[in-house]
Amino acid sequence: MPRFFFHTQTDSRMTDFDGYELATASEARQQAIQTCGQMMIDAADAFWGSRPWSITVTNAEGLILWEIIMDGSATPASRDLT
Amino acid sequence: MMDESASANPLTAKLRTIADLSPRDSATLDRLVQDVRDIPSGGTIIDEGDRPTRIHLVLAGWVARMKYLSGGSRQITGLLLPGDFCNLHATILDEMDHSMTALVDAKVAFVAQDLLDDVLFSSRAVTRAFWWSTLLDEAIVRAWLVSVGRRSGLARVAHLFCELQVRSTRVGLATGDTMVVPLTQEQLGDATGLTSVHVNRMLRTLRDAEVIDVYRGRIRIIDSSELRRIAGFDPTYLHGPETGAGKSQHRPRG
Repeated sequence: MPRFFFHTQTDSRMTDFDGYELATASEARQQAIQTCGQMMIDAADAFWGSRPWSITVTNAEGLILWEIIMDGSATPASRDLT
Repeated sequence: MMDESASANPLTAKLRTIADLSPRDSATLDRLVQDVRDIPSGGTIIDEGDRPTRIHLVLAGWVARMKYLSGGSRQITGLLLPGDFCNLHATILDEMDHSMTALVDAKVAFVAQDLLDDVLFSSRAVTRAFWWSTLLDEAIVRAWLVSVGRRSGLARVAHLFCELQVRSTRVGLATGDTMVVPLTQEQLGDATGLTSVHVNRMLRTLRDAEVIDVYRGRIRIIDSSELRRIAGFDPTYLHGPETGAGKSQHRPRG
């Protein structure tokens, strides 16, 4: 099975040295997206304070296949809101 | 969210795991709880490089021992629950070699070394109980070292949950099969040396196999014996009465 590497950037950076074997490339992309979803569920406040977050998926040769980016923007109307 | 358990001194509850503490010992231990500070989630109790002037005792919430690496990554080298000391004799050291961070809103007692010494040597039972606590901390670090060095990703996560269940139960944070585990999947990764993606996958594997159920900061252990089998969990290193009889049977001889 091909090996994929998932590097994450949040308020800290995590380089994936080991990688993870998955049957297909689409499964790897799906896994990255689902992990992003859980990351946002886990830590919505931390996300807003340190966005953008991302997961970068590379193949065994180190080529970037996908980058899932989580970001948001605020408008002046939200300035006085908590 | 864990305030319901903060009324009694969690240190006394933890030490009672092995120690026969008198009401007087218990009252002495309560003297440590004077200077109580609220540390918000994400707040730093003491930073790497700081000079420790107080001993820190967690009363409520969870605290992590953090080591930050130059590349921007981090490793959690210990999880402290209510009743745990951040560093029992930290003031002996000149400078902190790691940071202590609250993972959720926490209450921490700041204790002067003189006061700690008074309490520590107040009775034989208390002195022995503190030694047990220190040896337990070291045993947990050894178990984590084995996990990171030799266990599969699935076994690492399972092993951590098995350990947390025993530790949470001691201080009244687990009710039956359900315990509070306020760790994000990223923090679980930082504690087990796995990526968030790997942790996500492992949690799903455990959930799909109906071994555990994970929901908003809580974990329910559905099949405890299966979780322990996956982890290769032998609770001997947690040195308490709940480690069970016959535990030496599966220890290889020679």
